[in-house]
Amino acid sequence: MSDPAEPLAGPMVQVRGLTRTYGTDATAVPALRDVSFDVAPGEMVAVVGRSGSGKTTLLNLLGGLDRPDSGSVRIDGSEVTTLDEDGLSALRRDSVSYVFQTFGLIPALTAAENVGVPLRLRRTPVADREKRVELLLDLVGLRDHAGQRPGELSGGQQQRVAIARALAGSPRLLLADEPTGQLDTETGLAVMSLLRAVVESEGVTAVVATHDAVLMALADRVLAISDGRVGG
Amino acid sequence: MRRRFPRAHAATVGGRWRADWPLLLLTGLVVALTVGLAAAVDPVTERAADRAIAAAVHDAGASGAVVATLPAWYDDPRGKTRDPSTAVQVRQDADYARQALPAGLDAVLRPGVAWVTTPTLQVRQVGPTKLLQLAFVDTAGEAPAVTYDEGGPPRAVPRRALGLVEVALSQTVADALELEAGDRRTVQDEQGRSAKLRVSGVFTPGDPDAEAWDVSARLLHPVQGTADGLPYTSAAALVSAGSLADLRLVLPADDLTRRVSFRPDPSRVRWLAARSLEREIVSLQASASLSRGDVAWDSLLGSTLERARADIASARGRADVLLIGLLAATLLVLVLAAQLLVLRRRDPLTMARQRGASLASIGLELLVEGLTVAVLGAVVGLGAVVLVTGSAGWAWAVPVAVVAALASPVLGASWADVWAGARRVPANRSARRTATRTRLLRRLAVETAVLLVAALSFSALLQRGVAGDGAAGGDVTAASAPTWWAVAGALVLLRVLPVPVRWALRATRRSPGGVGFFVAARIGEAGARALPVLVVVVAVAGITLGASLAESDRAGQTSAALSSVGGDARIDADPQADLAQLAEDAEDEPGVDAAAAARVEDGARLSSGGASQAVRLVVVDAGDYAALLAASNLADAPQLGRLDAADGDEVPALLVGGDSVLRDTASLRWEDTSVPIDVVGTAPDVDASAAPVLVVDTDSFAAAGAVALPDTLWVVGTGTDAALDRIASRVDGVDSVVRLSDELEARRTAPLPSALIDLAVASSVLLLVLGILGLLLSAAAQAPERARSLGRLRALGLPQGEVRRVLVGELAVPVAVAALAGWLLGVACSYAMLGSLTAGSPTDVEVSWWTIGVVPILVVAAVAVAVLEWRRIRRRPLSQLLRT
Repeated sequence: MSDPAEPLAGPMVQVRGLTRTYGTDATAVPALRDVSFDVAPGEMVAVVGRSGSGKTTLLNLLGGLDRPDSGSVRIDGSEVTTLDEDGLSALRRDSVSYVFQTFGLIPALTAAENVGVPLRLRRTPVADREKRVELLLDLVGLRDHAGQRPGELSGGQQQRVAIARALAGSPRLLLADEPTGQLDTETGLAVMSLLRAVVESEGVTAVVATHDAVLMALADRVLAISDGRVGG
Repeated sequence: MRRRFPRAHAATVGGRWRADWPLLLLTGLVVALTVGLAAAVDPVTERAADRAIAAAVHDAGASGAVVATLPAWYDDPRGKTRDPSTAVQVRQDADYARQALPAGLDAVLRPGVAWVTTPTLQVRQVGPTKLLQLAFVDTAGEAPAVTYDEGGPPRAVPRRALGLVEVALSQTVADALELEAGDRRTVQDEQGRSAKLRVSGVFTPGDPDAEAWDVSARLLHPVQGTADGLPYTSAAALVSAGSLADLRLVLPADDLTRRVSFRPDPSRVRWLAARSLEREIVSLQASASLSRGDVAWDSLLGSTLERARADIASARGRADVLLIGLLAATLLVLVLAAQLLVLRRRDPLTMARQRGASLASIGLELLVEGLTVAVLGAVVGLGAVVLVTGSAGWAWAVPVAVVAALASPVLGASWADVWAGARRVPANRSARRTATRTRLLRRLAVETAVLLVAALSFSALLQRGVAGDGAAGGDVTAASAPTWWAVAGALVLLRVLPVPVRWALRATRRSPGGVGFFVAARIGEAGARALPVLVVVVAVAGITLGASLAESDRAGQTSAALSSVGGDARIDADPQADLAQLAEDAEDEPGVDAAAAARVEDGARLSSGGASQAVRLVVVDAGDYAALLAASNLADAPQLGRLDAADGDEVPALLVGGDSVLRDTASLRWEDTSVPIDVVGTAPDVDASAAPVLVVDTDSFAAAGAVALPDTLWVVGTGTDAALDRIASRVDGVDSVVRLSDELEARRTAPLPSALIDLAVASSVLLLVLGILGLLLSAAAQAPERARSLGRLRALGLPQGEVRRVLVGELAVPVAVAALAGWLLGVACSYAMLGSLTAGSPTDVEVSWWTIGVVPILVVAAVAVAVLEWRRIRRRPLSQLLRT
């Protein structure tokens, strides 16, 4: 695990000429077309655009969930597109984490256990894991709900657990795909504010896909994406 | 407003059919297979039942005949003249009796054998007592086929010799009585009325097994014995149509018994007609009596048929037990298939509902498809059965076809409503709590109902057994008890499973690694689904019970065969002292562990006070017999040691069965003498006798002045067959050598047991297939959700190898637990119910422990499914998995 306080020389995310097309020939649908951009360490970038504009595809390629047709993605200087399955697993375990629109919590586990999942994957000693989980639940304001299962929590609380889980492994890059998509506006704003706060406190770089204009204000930079191309 | 009737959209139905044809084909195959098996049961069991009835009637032999006793001739004693038409009258009497038979009986009986017999007459001569019965036998106007070695057939005597009767003797009878053609003797009855006989010839029977000789066994097989210490020979002589008129003239009418015997043709007796035949026999016996000058009827055919029918009903009941288990597993698999079908169509069904399609039209479209598959599957199954057996049973096929047709429309309409959001979760917390409580109460009500039905069916099984009233089918309620137990057990398992899952979660919570923890979490999340658990539990319990039932039946056959033979082999012979020597010789043969010679006499009268009962008397050397029992698998009888200690004049004896009064001092009638008996203990059962068995020691019996020459030799040991081949020829008059292996083979290949074991094997194989199919279908139904969930873990960094291990654990552990629970339930059902199910005694219950092997088979199948699923998941991009 790298030290979040350690200064980095280059960009945290470097994307060059990224292209991804679904289908072939007549049915081919270009999702991303020659996309290039950088994200600086500790920066929070909002990727905005309409449905089908390529936001999710971009996040998937950044996190190694999908492979591009061409182009490169560098995370903290390491090329992602050439990594094999084990390398990608290691990347997701150690450097990149996700916050899903549908939270993605494990229903049989308590909030604390869900937050501890990335630490288990890294085989963190039990004592350290418990300490970190407690810290994160405190950070997202769910210390009193540590023993509750996702079914016993509201949507906003579940997403806060998901954010805590995403931060548990101290990732360098946090990817959030429509993290407020399942929440009402007020809860969504609260969650986004929390995300902003914890990203700052943990020193994490974040790329957040959203189509909610209100949430863009919380980002350091907005990356507009339309028809697979990145604008201003 | 005009009411719109639901309509099925043909293009939608066709499109879905094309998209899901493998699953629909699988459903059709399950329907065809199960309907085929269920439909085959009726014709196959009917045939087996017909063969069993035929075998029972065949085995009953002469005792299964319907016998008419005709009133005595009225001959004026003052003016008695020779009536040359006597034989014709006998034939006419037979025809008359035949016409009196009810139509059902008439159809199954062979032509009658008419006969006229005298009582046993004593031959007046110096020397050992010789007894002779005279018999005229007529089979459809013909005398029994014989070849005369000396002289010729009896003829009517000329007028000048009136008072003389010509008779013919079989060669064995002539030798035993020391008579030859031309010899004359005087015989007299108990009243001293005499007749003069002349031996016209000595014959050899054309067919010693012909029905005509059943009239009197002594026509071919004279009996020799001792009475009051004196030897005697008892035999019978044949009277011809010509000499019958002379016999009628010589002996008074009350000395002549006229009977007609109709033996059933086993191939014509049908199981379904057996009950009506029994009623006809009862009605025939009640309709007339000799005292009223009518024909009197007598037959044991009714009780033979009743016993056979009871055996068939019991076998059908046991078949029902297997079928109900199979049917339950099939129905569950069909529901699982329908569930998978509907889940695969979740998006279009949801969309259709959201766009305003009525539930009826959604259901109708699925019904068209389900009905087509069910009907096609049923037609294929039934058609195959009709082609092979010529007919098919419908009863069991109907529920399979109905569930196959209705499961997907019912599930589809119901789930489409939920998925479309029509049944939203109430926003109000109190309403949510009420909804939760309602769900819990509904589940509790279902569970209570199942437990109640399981208890009631078990009670019915214990009280009534599975045979029912002996009509066409068994008692379905009782026969369903094992399946209800399995279902109830599965529900209990579903209730308790969360406890060990929580325990496993707690146990792995503090481990640094993740696989065990994630497996427990995934099982807690999705593993304990009701239908797959039910299918596996019911299938494995059914396999275990079916195998145990077959094994117990085989054990019952083994012990019954051993009890019937009395050892590894038995020689039945004429009573003779040589058998005792043969027993000693047999014991010296290699491979023979023990041998005992005995006299086994059925129908000996044992009396005490006012009670009297026919018993099977066994006179045997107590020491030899105890050694024989000890060397064999027959139950030991330590009380045999008490038979040596004679107390006074009474012969110590062991008795099993019979009236309790007989357990005191009793008296045994043996060859015109009375032997005082002191019952000192309980006898071992001999030859699975239905009658009480009395065992006495040879020496004690002889000391009381009774002589019983042995007629039976039992031999035990691995070398028995070879020993008997060498020594059996050393004695004459051997009637039969009965070997345990032959007896066992006969019982194993008997129609009912073999059909039942075939069914047990077939249903076990099908249950295993259904268990694996259920596992596959449930795995397929949950695969998208599992892929999504595992995809999230992969997105969090779970390596591929660990994904595979989590997947294997998630699929294999619930299967292992359910299969193990099913096996335990099967074992419990076997112990609790086989006593009421098996044909043998409750002590023959054998649990098939080897069926535990089904558990690893299912687990391996689950692991294979998991590995295949993992390979499929691995090939798909993670982004796609998370999107599904």
